[in-house]
Amino acid sequence: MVLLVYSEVNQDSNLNLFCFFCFFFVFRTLGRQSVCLAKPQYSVLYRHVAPMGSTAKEEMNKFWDKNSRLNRPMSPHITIYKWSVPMMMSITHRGTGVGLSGAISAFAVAALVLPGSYPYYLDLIHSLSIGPFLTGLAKFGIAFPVSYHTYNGIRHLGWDMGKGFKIPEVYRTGYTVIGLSVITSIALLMI
Amino acid sequence: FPIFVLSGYSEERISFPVLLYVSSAQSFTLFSLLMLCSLSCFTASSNSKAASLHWTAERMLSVLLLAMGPVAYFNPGPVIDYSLAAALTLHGHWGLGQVLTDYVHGDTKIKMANAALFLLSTITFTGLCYFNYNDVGICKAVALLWSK
Repeated sequence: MVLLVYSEVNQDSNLNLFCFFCFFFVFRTLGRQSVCLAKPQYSVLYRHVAPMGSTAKEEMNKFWDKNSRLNRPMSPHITIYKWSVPMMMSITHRGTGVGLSGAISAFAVAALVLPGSYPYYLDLIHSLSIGPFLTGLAKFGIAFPVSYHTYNGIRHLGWDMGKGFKIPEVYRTGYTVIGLSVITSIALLMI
Repeated sequence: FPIFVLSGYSEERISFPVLLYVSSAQSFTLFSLLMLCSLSCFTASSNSKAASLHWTAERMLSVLLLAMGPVAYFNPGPVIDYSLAAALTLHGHWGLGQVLTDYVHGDTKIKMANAALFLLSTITFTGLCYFNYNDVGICKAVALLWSK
């Protein structure tokens, strides 16, 4: 459920609506008596539950097939919904993750394809006399995504343990992550 | 990694096709196969814990990767180099897998995207191991880059 709130699946509000209805019926049944269904005496409630005829995957495929078959346009979502700091931090976490992964893969391919050794190419770059400002910029360009993704990753792990979901906490930890990332990146620049 | 032990007896660089085949066959697919074994595409039951186990494994790998940072800084060397190569590649593979799950829809497209991702991750792991073996290694590379 958290994933629904914090992920970027809001690119299809129709799917969100679909999930909402699924959860709606579940919660309606559970919430009616405010009971704890974990107790063994409530297993009797599940005795007559019949599984749906199709899986969630099949339902999702049916949804997407129908919509693309009817050429339905997608509802506006990120173009109309007001951006918030948690939203931006979440997509930045994904963006830095994808970017870093791509950089590592590019490095690996280069290692396989290029004929020279690593120190050779480093010396090549040194000889280009780039200048301290651009060098610093490049270092920051590497250090910041790594720092941000790491600190926000720790924040994610906190959420995975069930901590820090209250909205003020989300914002507080979020600003902490941003601040720490900037400070760490600048500190790494100095080394 | 028996191939690395064997090649330790010879001084020459490992040829690219051999390393590609071996590393992709042995090390990386080992991780993915382990997860594949518990994937629900093999078990059709609705009680399958495959997705849940995958989720837990993702978090455990993240914590492991976090711990590898200080180790790489204070104890650089081939052991941490190869561990970093494996952990980084797998973390990236699973992360990109989640991105694909979010944005790619339709059975064939999903299959093709995941196949392409698997290929990319295999190549990435191969390249990193190749770099660790034939070049300075990940830790040294970062140190050299930063000394610029």
